[in-house]
Amino acid sequence: MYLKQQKDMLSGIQLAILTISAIMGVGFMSLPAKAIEKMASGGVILTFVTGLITLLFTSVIAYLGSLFPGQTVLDYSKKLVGKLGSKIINGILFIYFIGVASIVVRIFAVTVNMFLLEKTPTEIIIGTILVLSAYLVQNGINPLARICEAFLPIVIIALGILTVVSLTIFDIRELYSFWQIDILTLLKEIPSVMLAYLGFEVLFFAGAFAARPKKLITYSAVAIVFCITLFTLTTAISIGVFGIDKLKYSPYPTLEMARAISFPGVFGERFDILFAVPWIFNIFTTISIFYYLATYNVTRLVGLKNYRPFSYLILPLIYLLSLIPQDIGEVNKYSIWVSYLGVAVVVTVPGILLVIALIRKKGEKKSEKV
Amino acid sequence: MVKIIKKNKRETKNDDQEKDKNLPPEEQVSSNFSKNFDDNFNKFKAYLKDSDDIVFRQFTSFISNIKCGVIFVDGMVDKSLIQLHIIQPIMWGGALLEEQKVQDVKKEQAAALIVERIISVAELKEAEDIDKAMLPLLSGETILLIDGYDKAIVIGTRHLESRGVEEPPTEAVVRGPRDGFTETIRFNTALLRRRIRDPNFVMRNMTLGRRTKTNVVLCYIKGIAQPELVDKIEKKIKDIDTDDIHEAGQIEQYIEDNKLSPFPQIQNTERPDKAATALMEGRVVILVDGSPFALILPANLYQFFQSPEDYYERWIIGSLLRSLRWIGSLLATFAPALYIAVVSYHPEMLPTTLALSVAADRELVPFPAIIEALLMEITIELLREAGARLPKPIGQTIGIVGGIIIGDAAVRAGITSPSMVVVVSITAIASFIIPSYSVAIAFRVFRFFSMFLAGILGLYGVCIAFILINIHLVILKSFGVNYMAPVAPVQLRDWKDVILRLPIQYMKRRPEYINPVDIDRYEQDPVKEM
Repeated sequence: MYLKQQKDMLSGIQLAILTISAIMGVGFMSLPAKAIEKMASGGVILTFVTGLITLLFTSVIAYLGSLFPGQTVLDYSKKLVGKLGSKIINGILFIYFIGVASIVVRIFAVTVNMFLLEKTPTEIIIGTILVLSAYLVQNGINPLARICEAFLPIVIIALGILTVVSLTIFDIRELYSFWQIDILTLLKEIPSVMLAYLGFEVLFFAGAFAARPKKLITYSAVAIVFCITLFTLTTAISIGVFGIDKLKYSPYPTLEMARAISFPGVFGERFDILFAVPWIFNIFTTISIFYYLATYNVTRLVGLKNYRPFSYLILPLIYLLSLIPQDIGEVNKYSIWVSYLGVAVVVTVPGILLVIALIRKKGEKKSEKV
Repeated sequence: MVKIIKKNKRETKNDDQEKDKNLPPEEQVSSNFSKNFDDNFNKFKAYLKDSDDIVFRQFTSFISNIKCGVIFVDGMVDKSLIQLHIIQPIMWGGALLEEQKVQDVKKEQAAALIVERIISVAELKEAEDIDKAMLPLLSGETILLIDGYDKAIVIGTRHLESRGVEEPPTEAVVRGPRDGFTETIRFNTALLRRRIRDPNFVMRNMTLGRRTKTNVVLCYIKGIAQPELVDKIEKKIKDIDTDDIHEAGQIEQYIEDNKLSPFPQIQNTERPDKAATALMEGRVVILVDGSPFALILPANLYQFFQSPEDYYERWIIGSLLRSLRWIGSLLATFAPALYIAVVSYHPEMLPTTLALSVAADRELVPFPAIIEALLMEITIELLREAGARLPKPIGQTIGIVGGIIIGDAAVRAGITSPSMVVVVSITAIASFIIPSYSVAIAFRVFRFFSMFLAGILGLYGVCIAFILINIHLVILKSFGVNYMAPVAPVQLRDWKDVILRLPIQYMKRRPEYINPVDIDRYEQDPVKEM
C-alpha cells in the first residue's frame, strides 16, 4: 500500500508528540475559563476527570489502530461498516477537520491582532499562516511530526518559565475548596471541557503510520496523561493567580498571566509579548495538523491518493471559511458548534467501530473453533 | 577516451583534417600498439605533437642496439629519476653489462630483460593500447617504448610540485592538530590513513570529468558505514557526466539532494582529524585531487556546529562553547529582525528608560527602522566581502575604515542611530562564531529574509521567518538522513553530542541517525572482522 513506506514511519515518541501538539491548540488556551464557569475551584477536578474520559476514548481509537496496522480509519471502517458507511464517516470527518482548521486560524488571527499587530488586517495574518501551513502539509505527515518535535520543547519550556514565575503572585487560598463539587454539575460540564481535549482524533490517521502498531496504545496513553497533567496544572495555577471572579472574564488566561506578571527592572512593561512567540509556534502546529487531516480526508473522499494538489485546493476554502464569522462572538458560536460535532464524532465513531470489530473478532474465533 | 577527444577536435578543426576525413575513423587511429617502435612512437606524436611540454626522447639500448623511447610531461615528473634509473641503465647497462653477455639478445627478449633487470624504479605497469597509456602519461608517469614489444611500459615517476602540509586557514583551532589537507590527493589519503590504520578502511579510486580526468577517492570504513549509503553515494558520483571537475565543491553540487536549499547538505573540511572522526562515525568522505577540501556526507545541521576542539578540550568547555555557537547563530539570523520589530511595532517591550533613549536616538534618523537596518547590514556585507578578497594587511585597513570610521560617521551624519550600530556589529561578530562558512552563509540569507518580514509584520513576521526556516530544515534530507536529526525526529541517545558535549566516556555509541552497521565503539577487533 502507498502508506507503507517502511523507512518513513512514525516512531512512538513522534506519535505521542504529534498527539500532544494536536490537543494543545486553542482549546487549551481558553480551558481554565471554561472549567470554572459553573464549578468554581472544582474546575480542577473537572479537568482531571474529563481527561480520564478522554483517555478512554483515545485508547479505543489506538486499539482500533493496532487491530488494523497500517490502516487509517477510512480503510478499516470500509471493512467494518461497508463502503457507504466509510464514505459517510469520511465526509463528516472532512467537515469537522476543515471546520476546526478554519476556526483555529481565525482565533489565531484575532489573538495576533489583539496582542501583536493591532492595525494589520486579519486577512493578511490568515493568509500568511495558511501559506506556511500549505508548504508543510504538502510534504506529508512525517515533516509535520518533525516540526511538532522541534516546536513542542520550546512551548513546554515557555510554559515552565511562566509557571515558575507566576508562583510569585499565586494565591493558594483560591484553591481551598476544590473538592467541594456537585457530581451532577460535573457530569453536565464534561462535554464543554472535553472540547479542550479535542485533537486526539489525529490518531485515527497517524496510527496508520506507526512503526510499531502494537505500542500505539502505550504511546497515545503517554500523550494523554501528559496533557491531563498539563491541563490540570494550568487550571489550578490560573485559579491561584487570577481568582475565580477575574478568571471568568479572561478568554486567554495563559497569555494574560504573562501580562499580569511584572519582572522587576529587567524587562519592559509588555513581557507577555515574548510568550506570544511560543504560542504562535504551538498554534501553527495545530493548524497544520488539522489542515493535513482535512486535505487527507478530501483526497480520500474524491477517491484519489495524491494529496499534494488538494493541499493547495483547500487553502482558499479554509481562508474563506475562516472569514465567515463577523466578530469574536460569532467565532465563539461557530467554534462551539464545530467542537460539539467533534465530541459527537470522537464518541460515536470509535464506539460503533469498536463494537462491530469486537463482534467480528468473536465471530471469527468461533468459526475457527468450529 | 582519447578517441572522443580526437573526434571532437576533428569536428571543430575541419580545415586542418580535411584529408583524414575521407578515411573511416578506425583506420586513422588504431589504438593498439604494434611491435614496430616507430609506429608506436609516432602514434603518441600524432596526438601530442602540438604540445611543447611533452618530451619525446629516442635512444638506443646497449642490448642489441634496440631502439627505445621515453615520453613524459615536463614538470610533472621527477627528471633525475628518469635520467638515472631509466635512460642511463638502458643505454649503458651498468652492472648487467659486466656479468652477462647481452650484446646478442634477441629483439623479443629485450623488453623482458629491461623490465626485470635494468629499470630500477618501484612502480611499473604495462598498457596494451594508447587509450590506457594516455591517462598515466598526462598524470606524470613516464611511457617507455621498446622496439619489438607491443605494449607500453608505464613507469611511476609522478612528481608534482606542491604546497606542503600547512595549518588550514579556514578552520583554525586553539588546541588540536595543525595539519590540513593540500591540493595533492596522495598527501590527503596519507593524512587519513595515518590516522586510521584499520585494514577495513577502504579508499576507492574513481576518475571523474571526461576531459579533466580528476582523481576522486571515496573513503569509508567497511563494517561501520552503511553499505547502502556507500552504494548510493558511489552511484551518484558515477552518474556525474561532465568534462570538468576540479574542486570538491563541484561534486558537492552535483550529488546533493536539494538544489534549491541555501543550506549545505554536505559538510566540507580542511582538517584531516575532522574527516577521520566522521569516518569513525560511519560517514563517507570524498577527496578530490586539486582541492584541499574533503567532503563529509551525510550531513545534518548539528554537525556544522561541532568543532574538533570541542572533543579535545574537557567536556564542560566544549559544551559551553557549543551552546555559545547556538546563541551566536540565533543572534546572527534574528538580531536585526528583532530590533526592527521591537523598535517599529512593539517599543513597549523595552524597559522604559531604554525605550526612551532609543526613541531619542531615532528621532534624528530620517529612515524607518527597516531601511536603516538594511543600509547598515549591506554596508557590513560589503566590508566583509571586500576584506575577504584583499591581501591581509589591506584587509585590516578596510576593517578599521569600515567598522570604526564609517560606523561613527554614519551616526554623526544622522544616517543611523547608535543602537542600530550596536545591533549590526553584534550580528556581524555572532555570524563569525559558526565554525562552518557554508552554514553561516545560509543564515546570512535568512537574516535578510527575516528583516524584511519583521519590517512588514513585526514580531509576528519574525515568527513566520523562524517557522519557515524550521519547516525547510525539517523537510531537508541529506542522503536519507534527516537534516534536523536527532532533534526532529527525536533520538534521545544522540543528544549527547548536539547542544551539549557530554563527557567522552558517554560517547561509546556512534550517532544512531547515521545508522552505522556497528553501533558501539568498544571491544573492537578490526583484523578479525575482515
